[in-house]
Amino acid sequence: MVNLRVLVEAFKSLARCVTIKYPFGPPAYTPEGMRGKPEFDMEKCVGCGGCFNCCPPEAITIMEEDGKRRIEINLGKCLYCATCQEVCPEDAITLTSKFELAVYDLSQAKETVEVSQVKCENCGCYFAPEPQISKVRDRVLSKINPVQKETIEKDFQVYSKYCPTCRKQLSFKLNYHPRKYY
Amino acid sequence: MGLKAWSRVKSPWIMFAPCGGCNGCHIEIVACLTPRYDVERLGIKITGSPRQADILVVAGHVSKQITKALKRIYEQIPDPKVVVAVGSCALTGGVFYGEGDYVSYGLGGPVNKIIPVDVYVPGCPPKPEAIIHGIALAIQKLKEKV
Amino acid sequence: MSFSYENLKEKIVSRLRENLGEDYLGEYEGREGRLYVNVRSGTIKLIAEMLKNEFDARLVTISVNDFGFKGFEVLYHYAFDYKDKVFTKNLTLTVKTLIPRENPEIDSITSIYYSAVYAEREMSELNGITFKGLIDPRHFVLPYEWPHEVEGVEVKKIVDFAPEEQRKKVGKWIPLPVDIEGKPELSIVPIGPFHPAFVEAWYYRLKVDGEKIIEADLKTGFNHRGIMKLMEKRSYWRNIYISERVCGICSHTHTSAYCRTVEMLGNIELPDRGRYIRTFIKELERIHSHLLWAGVGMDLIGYKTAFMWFWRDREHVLDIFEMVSGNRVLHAMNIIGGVRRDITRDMIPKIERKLDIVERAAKNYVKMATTEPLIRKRTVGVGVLTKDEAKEVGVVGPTARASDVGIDVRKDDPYLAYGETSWDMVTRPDGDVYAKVIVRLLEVLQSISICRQCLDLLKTVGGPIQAEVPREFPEGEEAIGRVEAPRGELAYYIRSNGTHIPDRVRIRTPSFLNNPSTLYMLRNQTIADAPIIIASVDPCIACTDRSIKIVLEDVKEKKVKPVSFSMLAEKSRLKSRRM
Repeated sequence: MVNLRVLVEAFKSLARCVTIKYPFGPPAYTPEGMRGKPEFDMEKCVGCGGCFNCCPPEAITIMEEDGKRRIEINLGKCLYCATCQEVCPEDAITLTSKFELAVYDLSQAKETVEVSQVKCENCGCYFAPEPQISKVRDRVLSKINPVQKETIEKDFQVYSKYCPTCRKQLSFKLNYHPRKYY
Repeated sequence: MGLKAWSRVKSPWIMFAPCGGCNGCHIEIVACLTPRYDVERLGIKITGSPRQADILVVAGHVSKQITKALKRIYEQIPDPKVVVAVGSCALTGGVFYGEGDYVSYGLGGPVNKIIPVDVYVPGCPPKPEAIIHGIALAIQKLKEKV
Repeated sequence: MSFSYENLKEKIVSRLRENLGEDYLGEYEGREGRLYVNVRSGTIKLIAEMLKNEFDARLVTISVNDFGFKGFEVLYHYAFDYKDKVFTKNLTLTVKTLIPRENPEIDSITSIYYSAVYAEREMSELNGITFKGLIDPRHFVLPYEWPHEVEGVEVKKIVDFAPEEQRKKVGKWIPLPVDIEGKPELSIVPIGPFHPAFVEAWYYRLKVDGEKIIEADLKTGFNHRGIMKLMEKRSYWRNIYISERVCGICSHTHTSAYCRTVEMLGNIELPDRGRYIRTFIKELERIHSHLLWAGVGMDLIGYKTAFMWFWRDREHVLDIFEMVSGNRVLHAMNIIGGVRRDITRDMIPKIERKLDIVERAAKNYVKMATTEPLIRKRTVGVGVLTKDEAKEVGVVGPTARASDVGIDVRKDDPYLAYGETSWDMVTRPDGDVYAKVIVRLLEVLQSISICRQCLDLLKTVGGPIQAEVPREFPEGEEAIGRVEAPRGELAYYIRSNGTHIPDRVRIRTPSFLNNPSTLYMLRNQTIADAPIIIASVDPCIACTDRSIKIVLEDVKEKKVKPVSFSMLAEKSRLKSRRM
C-alpha cells in the first residue's frame, strides 16, 4: 500500500526545489550582521591592544620587534564572538561575511596588522605606536581654545620625541611644566 | 587516471568520528545530509565502518579517554586516506585550552598531536557550506595521493 | 499529604528544630526567598527521610565547597514541586554541613533518593570524600592516568604537599559483576563508544538472553573537559563563553541560567526589552531542539523520510537565528544584565512569515504522529516508565511530563516573561516512548504561541536592552538559579569571594538525572528497541561530563593544585604574601 502523505510531499518538492546549488552557485543565506572572518582596517588601527585584553580564548597576540608592533588573530582559536568589534575604540575590526576559511597548513590561518612605533631620541627605547600620537594631537588641537593653539602645537612637536621617563629627567631643559599653560 | 582512481575520486565515502566537545560541529556536519545542503548529489556517502572509508572527519576536542579509540580507527582505514579536522576545538583546543601556563587536565590535545591531519576547517561552528568547501579541498588532496 | 504552601518555610524550620534538637545550628534567607539551614553532619540521613516522607521533596543536586584547612562544606539542595499550585514563587531549601579535612566521611542518601548516585560518585572521585553506604562506588569521569600522570609531573614531587590518603587512586572502570558461567545462553552486547547510530560517544553494556535484554550498564566520561575548574580561573564575564559551549544544542539556556544566577548575586534587574528578547530566543531554541530530536528519533525507527522533513523545516528557525544574532548555532546573545543585539522593526515581519511556515508544518507532524501506523507500532507500549518509578529516579523535563508527573520550572519558579504570557503545560499518563513523542510535538506548538506574544510585546515597549553591572561582587554571597532547558531542569550554584573571579561554580544538567532512568526502561525489551529507548530521554552526553574543582591545601601554609607544577609555585607565593 503506497503511503499517500509521502506522495503528496514528493509532488510538492518537485514543484519547488529546496536544495541549493552551493559549490556551483551562491550560498544559502548571508544576512548583514553575520559573524564570519574578522578583518583589520590598516588605516584605522592605532595598536592600543584593547582587542588583546578582551578576547575570551586569548586568540589575539601582540609581538614587538624592530620598532614595529604586530597584532595577530589566530583563526584556529577564534570563537567568532564579535567582542573585539564591540570593544575597539576606532572601529578597526569588522566581522565580514566570508566563511570559506579551510587551509592545508595551520600556520596560514591568521590575520595580521602592523603598526610602527616611535623611538625616543634620548634612551633609544620604543615607547608608543605612532598613529596613537598623531591621533591624540589632532583631537586635542581640534577642540582647544584657538589662543593657546600655537604654543601647544610647538610644544607637542618637541615632547613627542621623548619617552615619559626621559621627559621627566629632561624637564628642566625642555621647559616642561604644566603651570605655564595657566 | 585509471578507472579505479577515477571512481575513488568521484564518489568518496566518509567516516565521521565524533570525539567529544559541545556537539555544535556535529549537528552542522549532520545538517550537510539534509535536503537543503544535500551532499549526496555530489557522490558522498556516510559509512559506519572504517574499513570502507576514504576520508575521516574528526570534530570535537579529543579527551584523554578517547585517544586510544581514535588511533585504532585511524590505523584501520586503508590507504590512500585523508583526514579533515573541523571546528576550533579540533584545531587548537579552542576555549577549553586554558590560558598562560594552565592547560585543562581533561584535554588529550588537539587532533594533530595524535594523528596527522591534511585539511583544517576553522569556525565555531563552521557553516555547512564551509564544511563542504573543506571536503572539496580534501578530494583534491585525495586525487594527488591516488 | 495535604498541606498548603503558604507557611511552608515556617513549617519546615519548626519540624527541623523539633527533630534535631541541638544539632540544628541556625538558618538564614538568601536572594529571592531561598532558605539556607546549617546542621551537624551526623543528621543528614534523618533530614532526608523526614523531607521525603512528610513534605514530598525532590533532590535537585549535591555540591561541595572546599574551605582549606577549615574542612569541606557539603550542600544538599531540595525543591518542593510535586504538588499542583498556581503561580507562586517556589521554595528551594539548602542544607549545609561541615566535615573535617583529616577524615572526610559522611552518610550516603542513595538508599532514600536514587537520584543522588551520580552526584555522590562524582564528589567522591574529585574531592576525595567517602560516602558510607554508596550503592555504586565505581569510577566515573576522570581519565585513567589520574593522578599518576598529571601534566607529566611525577606524583613523588607533589606528595610532600598533601597526605597520601587524600589522593584517591582512580582505577579502571569495572563493569557490574556478570554471572554467565554455567548459563551458556546468556551473552553481553557492547554498544559504543563509536557507533554509527549515535552522534556522541558513550558505552552501554547489555546483558542479553537471545533477543531479550535482562540488564544494562552505562559508562560515560569520554567527554570530560574540566569545565568547572576552567571557570574558576576567569572573570565572570569571560565565563559566559565557556558556559555557552557546554552543550551546542541548548547553548542559550546555559548562558541564561548562568546570567540569572550572577544577577541574583548582585541584585541586578533586567530592563523590559532585554527580558522579552531573551524569552523569545529561548523558546525558539526549544522549538529547534525538539525538531532535531524528533528527526533523530524517526531515523532510529527507520523512517528516514521523516528525518529529512523535520530537519528541512528546522532550517527556517536557524535562519531566524542568523538574522537576529549572527550565527546559526551558538548565538552569543546574552550578557550579564541584558542582551547584546536588538530586534529592529524591519526584522519583525520577516520573522513572523517564517514562524507561520513552522507552525503549519508542526500541526502536520502532530497529525502524522497520531495516525501513521509505522510510528504507532514501534513506539506504543515500548520502554514504559511508571509514575512511581519516575518519582523514585527523579527524572525531569518532558520525560517526567510523559509519565504524569507535572513539573516545569517555568510554572513553579517563574522568571523572565513567563509570568506575563499565557500558555499550558502538556502532560500524558502513559509513560512510553509514544507519549514522549507527543509531549514534545505539542510543546512546539505552545512555544510558537509564546514567541508570537513576545513579538507583540516588543512592538509596544521601548527602552534600553542592558543594565549597569558592577565589576566585583561582594564576598561570601551565594545563589542558586534554575531554568527550564529543552531536556528538563538546569541548576547553577555560584559562590563569590569579593573579587572579579567566582569562587565556585557547580552545574547540574538535566541529562544527569535522565540518563540513569534508561537502565530501568531497558529491562525485558528486545535489542532492536534499545536505540530508540535510549534516545527517547534525549541524552546529551556533552552536558553530563563536566568537572568540579580540586584544591588540596595542607595545614602548613602551602597551597596545592594537582595539575601543574608552575601553578603550585605561584599559589604558594600568593598564600605566603597574604599571611
